[in-house]
Amino acid sequence: MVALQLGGAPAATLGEVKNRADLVIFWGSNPAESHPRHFTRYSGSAKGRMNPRGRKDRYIVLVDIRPTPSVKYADEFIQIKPGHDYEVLTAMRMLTNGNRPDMDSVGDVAIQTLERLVQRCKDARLGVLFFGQGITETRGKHQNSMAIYQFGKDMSRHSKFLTLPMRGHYNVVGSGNTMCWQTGYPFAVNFGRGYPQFNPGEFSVVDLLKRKEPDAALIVAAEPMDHLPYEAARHLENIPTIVLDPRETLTTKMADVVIPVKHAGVSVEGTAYRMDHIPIKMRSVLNSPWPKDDEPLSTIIARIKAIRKEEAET
Amino acid sequence: MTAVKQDEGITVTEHVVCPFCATLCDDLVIHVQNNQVVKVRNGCNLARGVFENAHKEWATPRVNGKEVPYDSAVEEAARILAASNNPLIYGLAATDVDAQKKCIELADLIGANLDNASSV
Amino acid sequence: MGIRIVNGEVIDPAHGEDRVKRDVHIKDGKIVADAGQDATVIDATGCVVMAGGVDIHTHVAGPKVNFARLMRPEDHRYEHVSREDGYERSGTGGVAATTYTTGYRYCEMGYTTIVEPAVPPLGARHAHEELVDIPQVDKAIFTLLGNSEIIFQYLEKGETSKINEYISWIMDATKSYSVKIVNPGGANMWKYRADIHDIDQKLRDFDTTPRQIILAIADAMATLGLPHPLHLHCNNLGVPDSYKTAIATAEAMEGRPLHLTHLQFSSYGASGKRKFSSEAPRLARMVNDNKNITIDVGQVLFGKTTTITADGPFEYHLHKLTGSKWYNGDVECEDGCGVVPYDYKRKSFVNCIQWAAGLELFLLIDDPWRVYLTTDHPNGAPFITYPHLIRLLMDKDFRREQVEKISAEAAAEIPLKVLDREYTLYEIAIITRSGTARRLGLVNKGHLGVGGDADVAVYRASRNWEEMFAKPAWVIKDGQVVAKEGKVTRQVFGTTMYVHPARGFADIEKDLADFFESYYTVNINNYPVGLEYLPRPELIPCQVKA
Repeated sequence: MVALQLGGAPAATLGEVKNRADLVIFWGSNPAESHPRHFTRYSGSAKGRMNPRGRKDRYIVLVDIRPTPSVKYADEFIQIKPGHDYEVLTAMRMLTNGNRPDMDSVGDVAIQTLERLVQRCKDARLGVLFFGQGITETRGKHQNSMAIYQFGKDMSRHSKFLTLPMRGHYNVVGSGNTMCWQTGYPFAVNFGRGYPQFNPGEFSVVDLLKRKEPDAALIVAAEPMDHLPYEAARHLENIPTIVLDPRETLTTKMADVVIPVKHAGVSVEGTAYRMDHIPIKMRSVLNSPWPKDDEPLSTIIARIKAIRKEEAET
Repeated sequence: MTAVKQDEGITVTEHVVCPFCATLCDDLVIHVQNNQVVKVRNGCNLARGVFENAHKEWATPRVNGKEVPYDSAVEEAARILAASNNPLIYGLAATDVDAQKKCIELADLIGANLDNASSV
Repeated sequence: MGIRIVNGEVIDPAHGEDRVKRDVHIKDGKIVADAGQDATVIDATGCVVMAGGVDIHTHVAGPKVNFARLMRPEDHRYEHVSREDGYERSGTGGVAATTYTTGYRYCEMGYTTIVEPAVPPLGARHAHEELVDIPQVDKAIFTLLGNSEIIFQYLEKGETSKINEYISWIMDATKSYSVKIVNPGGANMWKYRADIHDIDQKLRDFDTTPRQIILAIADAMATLGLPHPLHLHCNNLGVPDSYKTAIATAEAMEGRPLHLTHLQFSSYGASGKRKFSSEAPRLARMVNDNKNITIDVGQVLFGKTTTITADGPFEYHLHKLTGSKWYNGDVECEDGCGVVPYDYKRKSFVNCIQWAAGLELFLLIDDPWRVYLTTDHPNGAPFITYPHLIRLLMDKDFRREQVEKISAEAAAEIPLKVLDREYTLYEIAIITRSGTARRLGLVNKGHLGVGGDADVAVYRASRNWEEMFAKPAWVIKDGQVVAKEGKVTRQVFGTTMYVHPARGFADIEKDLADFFESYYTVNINNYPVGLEYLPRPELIPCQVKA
């Protein structure tokens, strides 16, 4: 996200990959396990306008620090030394821009291998680089994403090329979009001054909790007790914590207040954003006795306004 | 429109969107019997996990571990947030846009910190 | 209870009223003949009373606008709206503002209706989600169809009736008001890193040309009776000799109704020492001679902004030129977009020519009913600069002062330097509300006649036109006072206007199912945007010729 803010990116919806991509690179992503149908629907065997034979019309490269179950779907696997994504990407940018690094290998990858890969990108009708958590959640974080986007922009001077993140949670893209159109920022916002301020590292959840700053928490459809580093999550045990969730989780079990809600996309309709920013209306297949989560949130808003008014009057 | 077929107590819904990962496949066919998903077509293992387990372990309204009427839980939540000087609202990535909008409105009202899984 | 605005001077060009001293009566959200004895009285002594402003072209919602917000955290850092100043919702952004802030700021300038003109069908759901969060104004979207592969396939086969049917279907599926074409065929070619440079150039994948695309869509829109005609962003926009393409495009229309949007960006020639010149006088002549054509200007004003357009290849060109941030977003089967921050500088020869060309269009087009005030927000400048632009049009001394500040080399070349015309208040009312409402086909807007929507702006008369238009004394939306002295006093929500054209021109159900199955990644059953996305829908009827 920060990388996008800083530099932008060449992107497209996944249908472009389906219809035109003849070179697909997965970097730090293991779609066979994390996004199992990405391959058949969009990026691997999907048939499209310029790819009538599907898989046969695409060359697929997997770049990762170790072999994963996705390797068997690729034409080529490039194994790089852990923590060396940035160096490898920088070498690829140099090669793209016509400079050969004065070394035999970088991050345990032979320069010739990278030269071949860069040439494939330059020759592609449409080249696509998907990158996953293996690169965004390791050392360097947004610097790595930045290097990916910069590579994409450099390559765009030679061929049609896209750089697309493999996002995880089904509507994490929606949360970024909604926050962006209402606050101007996609995450890590603070309203303490009466207007939105943005500062990742200061207002991001892990940093806030590690510094023990919040004195109360509302968790909506997330599992911080499971997903956040324990040294951050444990602060939630020390402050009043409210959880809205359809199901019992590690977080509901420790929460002070649990408000059950319908399960979006299972027991209630609602809009979610796909990883390529296309919003889709989810359907409902089960009944739930609880309200949709925006209802208790609306009630809370109304109650707090009423409490404030009472306080102002007394 | 989506075909919803009723047959021998089984409701079949087509073109269902999977709320698991951001691939957001929208071609699932879900069979439901007695408010339980009994069959998932077109979905991957992860999708099957979401739908087939959806009827299990539903949360209940609670305050301090005790079951309470729904409105009491909501009231207690309002009380806690109204009294907070530096609240945190976190999550949003696994719910829909309407709920996300409400979270932002609430954060705006109470001067909260607001974050989603993008920062993790 | 009603409202009676007394002692003001009414400027209502739709009814030929120019500073007429009369009362304006409001009741139940409408302009009425008599608001009754119990009406609240607004004393508009020393004020002019106009209908609320109607912006025909402003990028305020949708996927690419949100990328523009995302990419400019530095813009939000300094520009914000705070709850501590009494606003219901806070927000940020001077250039690509957040949704609530956008609604408040339009309202505070006396605008009550805005049109987001460039939404790809797959982005329609997103655009509507944002429109819900824009308060104070009525809203509508135009759907991008100039790079639609479905239309291209029908064009190859000459299946006109299927094009009619598809456009009718897609208007409904996107809950849209009209059709926008951006760089016809160009966004499709950009999917191969190419562009289109001539309206008769063939596309790569499809046996068709921009000329054929434009004519087919314009004819379909006439058949459907859409209230606003084709809204067109020409090929070759933004480059020297773009004016030739604009003229060729206008000629191709052969008298069909056409709205050329942000024509300023298509008004460049290749003469002069720098091979970059204003051909605005030529385009103004073309507009003067062709009554079928209306334009909005897309004025450039100096300062930092963010460019946002469905013209992907143009944005790439701009990114290469400036080395600035660049986002590109191609949309499968439909269109594309790009976002690049930009800084218009007085020292830049090219920027000065652009600035002058816009003003030249305003001043050289004779009929104000056919030229509308826009900055192609935020491409030429953010919409909050409108009051400044109005002053540039109304005050020739002020304009002359500004010319003296620009690049001397540019100042010597621009046709603007000899233009003395000053817009009157009556003409400003036309180019900001009456004319735009009429061209949009909004019969209840842009005027103060009985039956009109009670959207009213009361401006305190001043010789400083910029101050006058920046802070209206009162703004009324749907019959309620919503802003005073340029500050929102009440948060309200307007409608989203859409059309529902007739169907039955051809059977395309199987075609669409096959096309979606083959080329889209979204299931056709999950594609249309339902009315539930429009909490306050307002259906505007189509006018089908008997």
